[in-house]
Amino acid sequence: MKNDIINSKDLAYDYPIKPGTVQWKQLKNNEEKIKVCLIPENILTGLSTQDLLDVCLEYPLLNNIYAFTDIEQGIDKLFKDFNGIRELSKRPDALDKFINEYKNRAGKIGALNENFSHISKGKFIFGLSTIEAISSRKEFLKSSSHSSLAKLMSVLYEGYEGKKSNSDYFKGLGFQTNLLSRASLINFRNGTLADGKLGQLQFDAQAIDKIDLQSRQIIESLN
Amino acid sequence: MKKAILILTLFISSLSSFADYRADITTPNGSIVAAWIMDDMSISSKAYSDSYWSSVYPNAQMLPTFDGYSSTYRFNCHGYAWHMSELSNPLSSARWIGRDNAIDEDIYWTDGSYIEVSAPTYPAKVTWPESINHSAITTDQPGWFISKWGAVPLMRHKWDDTPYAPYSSSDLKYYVRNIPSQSIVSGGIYSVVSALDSTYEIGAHELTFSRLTAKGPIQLQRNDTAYGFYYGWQFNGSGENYTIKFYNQNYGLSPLGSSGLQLSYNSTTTWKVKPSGDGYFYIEEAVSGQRFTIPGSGATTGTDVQLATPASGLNQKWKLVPILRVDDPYARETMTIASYGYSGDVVFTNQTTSEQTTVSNILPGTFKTIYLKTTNPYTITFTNGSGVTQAYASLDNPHGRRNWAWNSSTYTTDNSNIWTYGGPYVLRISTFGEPPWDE
Repeated sequence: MKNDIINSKDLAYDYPIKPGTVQWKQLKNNEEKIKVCLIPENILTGLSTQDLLDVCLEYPLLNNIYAFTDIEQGIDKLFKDFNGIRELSKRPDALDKFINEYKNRAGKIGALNENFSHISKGKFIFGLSTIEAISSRKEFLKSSSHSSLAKLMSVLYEGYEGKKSNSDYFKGLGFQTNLLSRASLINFRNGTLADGKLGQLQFDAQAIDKIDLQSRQIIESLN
Repeated sequence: MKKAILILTLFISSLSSFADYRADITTPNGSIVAAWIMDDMSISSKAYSDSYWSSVYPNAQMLPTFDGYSSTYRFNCHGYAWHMSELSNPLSSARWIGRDNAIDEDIYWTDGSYIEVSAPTYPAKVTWPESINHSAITTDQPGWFISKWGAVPLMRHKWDDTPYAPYSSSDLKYYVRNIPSQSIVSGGIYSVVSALDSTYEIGAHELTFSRLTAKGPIQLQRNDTAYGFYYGWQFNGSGENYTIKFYNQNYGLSPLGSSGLQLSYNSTTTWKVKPSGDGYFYIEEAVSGQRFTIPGSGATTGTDVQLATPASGLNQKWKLVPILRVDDPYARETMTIASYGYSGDVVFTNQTTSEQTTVSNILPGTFKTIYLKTTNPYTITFTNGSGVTQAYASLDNPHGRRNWAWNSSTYTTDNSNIWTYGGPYVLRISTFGEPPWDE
């Protein structure tokens, strides 16, 4: 059986205490986990945007965003707890790095049909959704160019098509994050989808058609 | 069981991305709760999710749900805490509550089904502030909860070791079922049913009360299987203070030694029957303050019910289920009449009101079900038209049996004390050579 679909990178900063270790198990509660996962400030500001993105995507508590009924609240909590993601949102080129990372990963969707373990495939599925959910936050969109926004929409739309081709793997959460991400982006650009919280959007057939239509309009505006 | 109202609002995109659909449920008070049946995640996602959260929260316990994994997209924290955890088979009715509206679960306390209590208790529901929007249930281990973590696993965890922490213990609210206190009717006869397991109640064996000098033990028995055990307890008194007699005998409950219970003749022991606030009662000996208690870890047949120091566990809580329903003159019980060769009429005569209920033209090999008021004993008069004068009858209810045999065209029974225990009743009448009740 093959290893991970996405090979792990050498991180410019590695977390000193990681899940699976004795030291991690000795942490009494979530507050202590959050503290040991903070990136020292002197290191944080010195990391390149790509390195910082890589470090953020390996944040041990990153998947906690899925432990919330409303994933938007989970991402709010991520921003509140983790200085790495807050620093990343200050970088003007962060969205472009997200786009490249997503494009790279989405290009490997076909690997789900290869001989990887369930855990490896699941890690890939969650990883793709996480980039979708976080990259379209207004914190990353607000300082990005129109071109970057359109590129993000383009890769998300392609990603959605890729997910539909492998719907058995992405059913449930996988589609939700992509639609949420594109709805967020449309709302940021046009303010036309939701008056309330995006996490409570009803993704019925009509809403999905509307998201798809407006996604294509944004992509076409790139050309 | 809660009523599931299926409102099939199938939201399937043109490319089948979603197969979630609306399937509302109700609160205990009957309010409709917007709820969803969700399409689950893939096995690969479940495998990774379980692996991830068991690694990140190694001191929590992951509880199994579907497909041999814990992680599932089929229900969330609110669905589990408020709906599923109340069911004997929680996974049989998986629901996601709050899919479109973050306050959908609030109806459980705004409609009065649950009320907030000031301190942690068990059993109870737990809620977090709206910025976190999470629900859990308490466990019998203080400070430990069970909750579904969003779209991922079902966990048994310490109160502050969750993805939502840090928060203060004062941020958490606790809710218990809001069951109005049951009033006890003096002279009423009740089953004393365990809160630990409602299939067990306090009984005394027929040998105990038939031998008038016999004492306890007062045992816990399964109310559907224990032959020869009887469960009717008459409460006489007012307020919180009652004597507790064994059905209509002169034997009452009293302490036995330092921690036992017995039946003693003309017992005057006063018992304090105190509502526990969640629909159950504590039953305390008035002098010592010791409570009816199921010792050990759980209800088992034949366990002697003991007296013990007050605590808050379910093993000290009891539900009083009226048997005679003396507070409800319109109560009715089913009476099924089965004929084994018998042909004729049966008349039930209420010995208090003289009211008669006649069942005519009973034919051999037939069954017939009627309803009777059971607040008073009855006599039964058989008018046998089969031409066979030797007849037999048996009357069963869940707590006992009476048999009669006669050799005449008409026969009237005594007002057997079997009526004391309530139905459902089965009356078998036979003109065959052998009595039917041993079949």
